[in-house]
Amino acid sequence: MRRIPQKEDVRLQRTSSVSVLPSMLETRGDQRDTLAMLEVAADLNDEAAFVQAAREIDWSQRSAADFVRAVRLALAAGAHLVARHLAAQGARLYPDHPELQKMTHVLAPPRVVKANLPPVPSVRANQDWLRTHAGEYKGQWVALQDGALLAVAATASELKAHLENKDHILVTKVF
Amino acid sequence: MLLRFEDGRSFAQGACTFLYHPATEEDVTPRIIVAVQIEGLQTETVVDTGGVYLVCDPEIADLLDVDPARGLGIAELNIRGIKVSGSLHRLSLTLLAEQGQSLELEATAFVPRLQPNEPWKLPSFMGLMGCLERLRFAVDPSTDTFYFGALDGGG
Repeated sequence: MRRIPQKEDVRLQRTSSVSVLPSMLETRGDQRDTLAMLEVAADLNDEAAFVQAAREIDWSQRSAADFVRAVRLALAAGAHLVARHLAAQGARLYPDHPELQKMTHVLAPPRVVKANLPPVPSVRANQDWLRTHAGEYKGQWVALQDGALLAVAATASELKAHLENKDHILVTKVF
Repeated sequence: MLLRFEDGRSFAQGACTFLYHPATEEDVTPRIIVAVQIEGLQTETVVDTGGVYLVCDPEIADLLDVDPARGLGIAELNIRGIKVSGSLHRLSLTLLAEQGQSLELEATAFVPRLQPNEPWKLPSFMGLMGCLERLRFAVDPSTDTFYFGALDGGG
């Protein structure tokens, strides 16, 4: 019966030479163990250990389900760039896998859609209102339009009930 | 006056004033707070270059009818040392210009999932990775102005 990696294994990687990790994985010779290592790193919230373990895996041989699992673990470990790259790699290998396609779309780098939109002069008036009146409404939700208070409520959903529409209205909690 | 490179190309296509104060009742450090639109709804967000994604206040997400089922299931995000469960989405985010041009982008957004009656004590945040990473931006603290622009001039 193979030994499942323990938290101590991950700590060991970080405190000793990083070159220890590949030899450990070769000794195990089990790709499942390498995913378990990712799980331990994610559980420890150890981004560096996660990145190191992910680098040692031959992803070209992994299933779509492994990619999905690894992306989720990367997010839990705080390894957000790894999550993005794994999602993209998995989606390239499995172009018909809906979950991997969705992951790739959601985690893709931000993209400018329109850069020629008109300015919104009311931004300054609303900020002036917040500068002047924030102290009176701390912790409450307010709706502002052109620097005037339209509605105030304890929650955003209560505020919504006071608004006929939300166009050109600033909705924010006052801190 | 918007910023330009030496050769005349635009560094920033838009600029807006920002608020500069602590972002929560417990916070004591001032934050840069700018007006944006998330999926068309105008609201305020904190510029958080140490953070990731657009962290969307769950009450705002609720107003926008962001459906967790359409996002990436339940993901965990480390926010200020605390693991928060929620869903990841692709949302429209518009930086609102007072001078120049406003700029709309698609960004990765994290919507925290709260327990019933659990309050969300933080504002919305624009992190670097997944949100601001493909923009140029600059801050002028003497006028509280936030400048922003697309890397390639946009759209």
